[in-house]
Amino acid sequence: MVELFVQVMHPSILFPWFMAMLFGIFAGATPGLTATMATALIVPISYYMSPLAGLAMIIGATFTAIFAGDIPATFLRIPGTPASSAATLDGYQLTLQGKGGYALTLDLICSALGGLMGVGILIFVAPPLAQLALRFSSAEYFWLGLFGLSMSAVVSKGNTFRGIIAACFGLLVSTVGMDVTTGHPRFTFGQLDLLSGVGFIPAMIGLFGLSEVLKLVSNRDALRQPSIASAVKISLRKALPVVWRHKFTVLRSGGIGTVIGALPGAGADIAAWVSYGMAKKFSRNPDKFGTGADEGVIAPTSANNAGLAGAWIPALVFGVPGDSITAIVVGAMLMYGLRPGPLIFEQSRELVNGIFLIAVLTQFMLIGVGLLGIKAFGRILQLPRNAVIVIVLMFSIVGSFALQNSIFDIYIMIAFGIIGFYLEKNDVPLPPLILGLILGPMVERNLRVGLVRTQGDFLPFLTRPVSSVLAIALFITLFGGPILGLLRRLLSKYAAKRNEP
Amino acid sequence: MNDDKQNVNESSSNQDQSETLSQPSTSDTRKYSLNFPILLLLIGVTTLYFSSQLPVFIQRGQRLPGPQYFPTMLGVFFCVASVVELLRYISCRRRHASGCGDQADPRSEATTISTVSFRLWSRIERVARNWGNQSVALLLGALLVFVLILPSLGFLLTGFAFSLLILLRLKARPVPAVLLSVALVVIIAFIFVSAFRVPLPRGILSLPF
Repeated sequence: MVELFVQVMHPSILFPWFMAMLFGIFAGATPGLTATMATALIVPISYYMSPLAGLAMIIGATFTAIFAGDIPATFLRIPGTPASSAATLDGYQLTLQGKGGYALTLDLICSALGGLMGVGILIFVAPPLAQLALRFSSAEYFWLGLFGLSMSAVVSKGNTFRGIIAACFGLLVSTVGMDVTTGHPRFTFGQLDLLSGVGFIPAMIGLFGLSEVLKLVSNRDALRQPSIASAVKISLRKALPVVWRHKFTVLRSGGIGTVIGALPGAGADIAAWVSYGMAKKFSRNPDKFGTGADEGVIAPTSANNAGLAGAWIPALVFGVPGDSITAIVVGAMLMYGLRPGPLIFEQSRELVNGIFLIAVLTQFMLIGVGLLGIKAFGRILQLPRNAVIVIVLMFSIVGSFALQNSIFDIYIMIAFGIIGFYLEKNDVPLPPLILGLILGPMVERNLRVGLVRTQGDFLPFLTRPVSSVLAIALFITLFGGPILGLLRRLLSKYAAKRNEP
Repeated sequence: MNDDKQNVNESSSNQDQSETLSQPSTSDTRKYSLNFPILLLLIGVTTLYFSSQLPVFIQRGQRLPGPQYFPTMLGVFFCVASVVELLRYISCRRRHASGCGDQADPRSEATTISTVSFRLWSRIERVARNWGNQSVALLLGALLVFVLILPSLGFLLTGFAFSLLILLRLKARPVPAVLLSVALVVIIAFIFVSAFRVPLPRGILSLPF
C-alpha cells in the first residue's frame, strides 16, 4: 500500500494529474465545454505517458469538471456541464440571496464526499463482480453489450427511438475495417487507413469537440459574454456543520448517484436530477426546495460526482461503459494496451489498485483545487468565448493527428464533427453513438462466436440463466415504458366505460 | 461593409421573430423533417448493398454468421427505422397543418404565393443569410483547407492562419487575435513536438527546438 502511494505520488504522475485537475476546472466552469470534451481532449496527450498517469489525468479532470460545472450554474444560472443543471435551482437562489460563496463551498464539500462514496462502493463492489463476470460466456457479453446500448438510448435526452438509431449507427461505424473473426476487410473501399477501423479517438474528438464548437459558432448569442459575479466569500466554517446536519442526504444521494451511474448509459446528469427529487421527497420541509434550500444544493452535487465513480464499475468489470466519459476511458485503456474486463483484476491488480487510490486521493485534492476554482472563476469567464473556441479547435486538430501521426485521422475528426452537429440538430442523442462505436466489436464478436459454437442456434442465448435475465432486462428497458403506458390507457378507458351507465 | 452588417442584423432579428412566433406550435414538430427518413433509407440500402458483396462464411458445409451477418442486420434495421421515421413524419404533418421540421416556417405559410419553388428558394436564402450557418460553413471550409495545405506549408503557418481567420470571424480585435494565434501555435508545437515527439508537419517554417 505504501509502495503504491509512493508510486502514485511520483512527479511523473502527480504533475499531469494536478494539471489535468486545473484543466477540469477550466473545462467544467466554461459553459459549452463539458467533462466529456475535457476527457476527449486529454486522451491524445495521455497517450505519451504511462497508463496510470493517463488514467490519473482522466480521473482528475472529470471529477473536477463535474464539480466546476456547478460554479457558473450557481453564480449565473448557466450550467457549465449537463450534469450540473440541477445546481441552477437552489444554488442560484442562494446567490440571489448573496450567499453564492457559501452555496459553492457546500457544493464543493459534498462533491468530494459524494465522489468518495462512489469510489468506496466501486472499490468494494468491483472485485466480487469481476469474480462473477469470469464465468460469463459470449452469450452474456452479447446481452450485456446490447443492454448497455439500449439503456443509453432510453435514458438519453431526446426520444428513445432516435437513441436506438444513434446506437446502431455507432455499431455500423464499428464494423468498418478488418472483420473481427475472419480478417476480411469491410467497407474500407480500398482505403488502407480504414483497415484498422475508424479511429475511436478522432471520432470522439469530432463528436464532442468539433460538433460543440459548431454549435457554439452557429449561435451568435452563445458568443456573448455572461456578466461576472462580484467578489466571492468562501466560508468553510459555516458550510461544514450544515453538511453534518444533512449527512443522510449526502449518504442517500451518494448511494443513488453510484447506482444510477453504474447503469450503462445513465450518467451523472440523471443521477443529479433523481437524487434532487428524492431529497425533496424525504425532506422535512419540501416547500423550501427551489428557494435556496441547503439540501437542494447538497443532493444533486453529491450524486453527480458519485455517479461518475459508479460509471467506472461496469466499465472496469465488464468493459461496458456506464456513460460517455467511461466510454472514452474504455477506448483509452484499449489504446494503452489494457483490456477492461474481469481479467484485468487478476492480470493487472496493481494498476486497478492504482486507479482506486488515485480516485480516492482526487476527492481530497478536489477540495483544494475547487476552492482555487471558485476564486478564479471570474478570471475564467473573462476569457473571451472566441478564444476558447479557437483553443478547442486547435487541440482537436492536433489531438486527432497526434495519435497515429495521421492526416487521415483529422478528416475522420471533421467528418464526425459534422455528423454530430447534424444528428444533434435532428434530436438524435450522441452518447449512444459513442457507446455503439466502442461496444460494436464486443457485441458482434460475442454474437458470432456464440452462434458458431452453437452451430447457428440462437436458443442457448436465451436459456443460460444469466443471459435470460439480461435478455428480459433488455426487453423491459426497451418496451417496459410503452407497454405500461398502453396498459394504463386501456385501464382508464375500461374504468371510464364502467362509470358511464 | 456597413450594408452587409445591417443585412446580418436584419436576418438575425427576423429569425428571432420567427422563432418566438413558431414556438408554441412547432416545439415538437421541428424534430420531424423529411430529410431524416430519406437519409436513414440511404444508409440502410447502401449498407445492405455493400454487405451483400462480402463473402459468406461456410464451415463444414454449414453456413454460419460471417463478415456480412452483422452489417446486414444493421442495414435491415436502418430500412425499418426509415419507415418508422417516415410514418412519424406523416402523422406529424397530419396533426399540424403548418408543416413539420424544416418546412415549419410561418412566413412562407402566410404568403399566398406558396409554390414549392418559392418556398424552397426562400428557405435556401434564409439558411444562407443566417450568420450562424455562414460561420459554420466558413469554419468547415477553413478546416478542410487547413488539412489540405498542412503537409506542404507546415503546422506553424497553417495553424496561425487558421486560428487568426476564425478569431477575426468571431469578432476578436485584430491585435489580440494575432497575439493569441502566435502563442497558441507555438505552445501547441512546443507541447507536442518537444515533449511528446509528435512529428507535426514542419513545412517551410519550423521551430528552433
